[in-house]
Amino acid sequence: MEIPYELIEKTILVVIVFTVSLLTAMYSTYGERKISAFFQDRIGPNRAGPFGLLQPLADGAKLIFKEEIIPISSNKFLFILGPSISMMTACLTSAVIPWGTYLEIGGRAVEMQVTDINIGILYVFAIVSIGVYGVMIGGWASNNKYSLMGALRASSQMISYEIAMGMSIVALIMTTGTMSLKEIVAQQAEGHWNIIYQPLGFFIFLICAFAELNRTPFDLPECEAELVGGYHTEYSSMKLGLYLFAEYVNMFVSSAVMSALYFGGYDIPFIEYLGLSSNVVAVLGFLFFFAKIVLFIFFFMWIRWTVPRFRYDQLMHLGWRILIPMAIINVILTGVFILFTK
Amino acid sequence: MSNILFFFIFFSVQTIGSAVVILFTRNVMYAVTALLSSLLGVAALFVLAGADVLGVIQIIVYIGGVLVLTLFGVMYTYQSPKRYQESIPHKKSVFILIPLLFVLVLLVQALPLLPMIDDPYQHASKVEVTGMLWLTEYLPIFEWIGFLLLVVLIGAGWIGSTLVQEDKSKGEQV
Repeated sequence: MEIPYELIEKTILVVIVFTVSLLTAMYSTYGERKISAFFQDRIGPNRAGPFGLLQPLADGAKLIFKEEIIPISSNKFLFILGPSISMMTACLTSAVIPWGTYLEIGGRAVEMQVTDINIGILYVFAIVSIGVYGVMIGGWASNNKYSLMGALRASSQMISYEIAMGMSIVALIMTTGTMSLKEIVAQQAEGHWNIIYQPLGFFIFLICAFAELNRTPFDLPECEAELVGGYHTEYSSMKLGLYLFAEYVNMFVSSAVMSALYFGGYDIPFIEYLGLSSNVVAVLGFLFFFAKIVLFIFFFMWIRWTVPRFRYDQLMHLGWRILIPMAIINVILTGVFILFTK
Repeated sequence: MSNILFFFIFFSVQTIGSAVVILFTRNVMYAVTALLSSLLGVAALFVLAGADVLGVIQIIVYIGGVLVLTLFGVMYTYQSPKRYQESIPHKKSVFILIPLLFVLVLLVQALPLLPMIDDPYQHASKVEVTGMLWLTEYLPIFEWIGFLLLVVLIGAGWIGSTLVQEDKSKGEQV
């Protein structure tokens, strides 16, 4: 019987990608607390393990062992479905991200991407658009005013910012001519990063990513000053943990998407002059990609602890009257640029 | 049974089963969730048939756009979830028997056709073909539809704005 090498490779890769994204998300929570402590001149978690490094494990254990409360007036099925959808969609996106070139193992070239589909960007976009259901269904099923308002805010915010995000990606696709993430990263080799050609597009994409992630300054769906906890007010134990954790997984994935689309992904400029073997280049490329992702995650946290929350009308104003026209202008400018240069 | 057939039956059961739930449930939110599942099943069937672009567009447009707005409407006409609690007699057996029945029907339907649908999925992507058709043959149609939608948008905006003005003037009179 022929050994199904590809199946084994892909299974291992899926497990690795899954583990890395969950671990990164886990330590993002630690990073968030340390960084917020730094910004506020505090020490931050330092009791569990050296430098408090075991804090995420302690948090996880606490969430798992806490008493789980499902409100009696809630809809039990949808109450459980909400966080499940959130977590599932958060983990699905990483399937199309190219984590590196390829590794040569035993004469076989093993791709460092779970699947390379021709519609990679559209796939990412489709999964993101399903993600809003987790918040909406969970918020509705809680049978709580604050949850419902949080869910309404989340959905209207996500719909509004998805448009501008899509338009900024349209301009990117116009310059790259492909929707496959692997090809987009390959085109950026040797330092031709898309950020040079699409600075405005990246700027719009970045702001929309903040809004899609429900992070400050756009964290109106869960702003504690007005809505207690927003859509997850009624949640406790690991279901709350899944909602919070999904946000960090999403942050990791959107950092990866931004690095891949605009910052060359695993590309290290001028590495071809060093004459390294392809395996070393692949591993270095992955590490470099990871460093870019960590930088983006740091940026997300930096903004969160620096910029105050928007008011709701300001949020809508920014989305509909500033970002969408800017994105349309960006598309037109890109079209004119392509017309006169190619 | 080939892999493709297995997935075809799986997603068919998902699509049809969810559609049946929409028909019989009295809970609006269950209906919306079932519609979500049904649309996802249709998207998966599109992908199985080799129409990858159509499958993803289905998700983006119908699930990411139309259904979210529907859900939005449902949430604004908020009623306590308690009001929707429904008692289904023999709940568990119904939920197990109906999908089983569908699988049986599909198997009986699909098994004689087994040689015909051995591998319908062509691995070539349809992105380029679809894109070329959109921007050449079907461009005028899309332009017209776009124009129509623009008229609708402007009209809706205008109606909304005058209503707002009327409300304001009423407020001033009081």
